[in-house]
This record gives sequence, structure tokens and C-alpha cells, in this order.
Amino acid sequence: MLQTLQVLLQLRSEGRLERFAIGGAVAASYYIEAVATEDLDVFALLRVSAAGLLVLTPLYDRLKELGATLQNEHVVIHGWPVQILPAYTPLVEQAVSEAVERSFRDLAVPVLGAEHLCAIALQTGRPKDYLRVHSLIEAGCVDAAKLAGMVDEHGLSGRWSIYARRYT
Amino acid sequence: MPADTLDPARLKEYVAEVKAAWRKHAQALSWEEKVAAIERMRERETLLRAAREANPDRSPRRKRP
Repeated sequence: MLQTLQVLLQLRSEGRLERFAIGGAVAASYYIEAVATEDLDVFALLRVSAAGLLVLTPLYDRLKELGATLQNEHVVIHGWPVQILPAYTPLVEQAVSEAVERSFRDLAVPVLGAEHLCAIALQTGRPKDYLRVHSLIEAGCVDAAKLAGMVDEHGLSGRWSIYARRYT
Repeated sequence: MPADTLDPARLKEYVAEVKAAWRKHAQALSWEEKVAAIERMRERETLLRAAREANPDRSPRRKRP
């Protein structure tokens, strides 16, 4: 994982990844107990071409130069399947912009905040996502007022109701 | 496991205590330790998948109800 993160930070320093943050189960493991996962989710703000399109080719070409291989929707970087997800909603854009750098060995790695992880999990809405929301709240690492603000701002009240009905 | 856990009510309480203690321990680990745990889980899963693919006849099947 250390080498995988080093490559991502290198891409950022080279300007291939404008801004990124770790999400998913690996980010959640910063706050709560570790759970099994098959991949590393990386949310990224990517450069847009003059035509308004996301151009991923330079990023993938550089990754290949650095030894990464493509495997379905993943890029395998030093053994870790990495899913690079362009910030696809205003919520994810906000989450990446407000991510906080966390220490991993001697690296400063941007990680999504606990409230953003909850809000994105609500937006995704699979059973395992609701479970993550529950674990983060139970662990006491979520600012309830901040999460409530995000639920309102990003139209997640319906999802929150589903969560509340099932888990509280 | 203590003998008094044979009492169903006590058993439930005991399981809750063990779960809480485990959760406290798991959450107290550093991020690096948790990621190392995730990597070990991935390695185990990869080995299991390889074993299942090598011996498809021996892979566990769910019984029909």
C-alpha cells in the first residue's frame, strides 16, 4: 500500500492528478475498524479539456510507465487494484476539496472526512454502505450537525430516512 | 469461555462484551496496522479463490432449503 500511495502522490506532484483523496473501505479504516476490501477507491478532480471532456489518457499512460497494469475497471499499482473515480457529483467534489491529509508512515495522504464518507455512502445506498454509515456514527467520529447539513445540501434526506428506519 | 455462559442470557451478555472489547481493540490500531490487516484479508481471499478455482468440485455449495 505504501508504494501505491507513493505513486498517487507522485502523479499529483507531476500534475497528472490535480487533486485526489482516498475513499471507500481504506479511508473508512482510518476512522473505524478495518473491513475486507478488494480495491482502493481514489476520488479525483481531473483536468477537463477545452472541449469540456475528461481526458484520462495522459494519466493512464503515465501509470503504465510507472509499472501499473489495467485490469477491468481497475489500475493495478504495486499489487493494489485502484479504482480512480472522477469526482462525479457536487458532493464528491466537495469531499475531495475538503479532504484532510493523514499520516501513513512518512507520507501525508489525503483522506475523505468521516462525514463525507457517510454522505457518499448514503448516496451510493447499498447495504454495505448503510452499514459503513452505522459504524462511523457508532464509533463517534461523525459530527452530527455537519452530516445533517450535508444531507440537506445534497438531497439525501430520503436515503437518511431509509438508514434511520433500518439501523436506528 | 466461562461456565456461567451456559445461561442463555449470560451468553448473550458475554458475546456483547467480547464484541465490544474486540471493536475497541480494532479501532485502537493505527491506520497503518489496519491497512496491513486489510492486506492480509486480501491475501487470504486471493488464496481461497485460487483454491476454489483449482478444485471446483470441492468448493462449498449451499444446500437447497
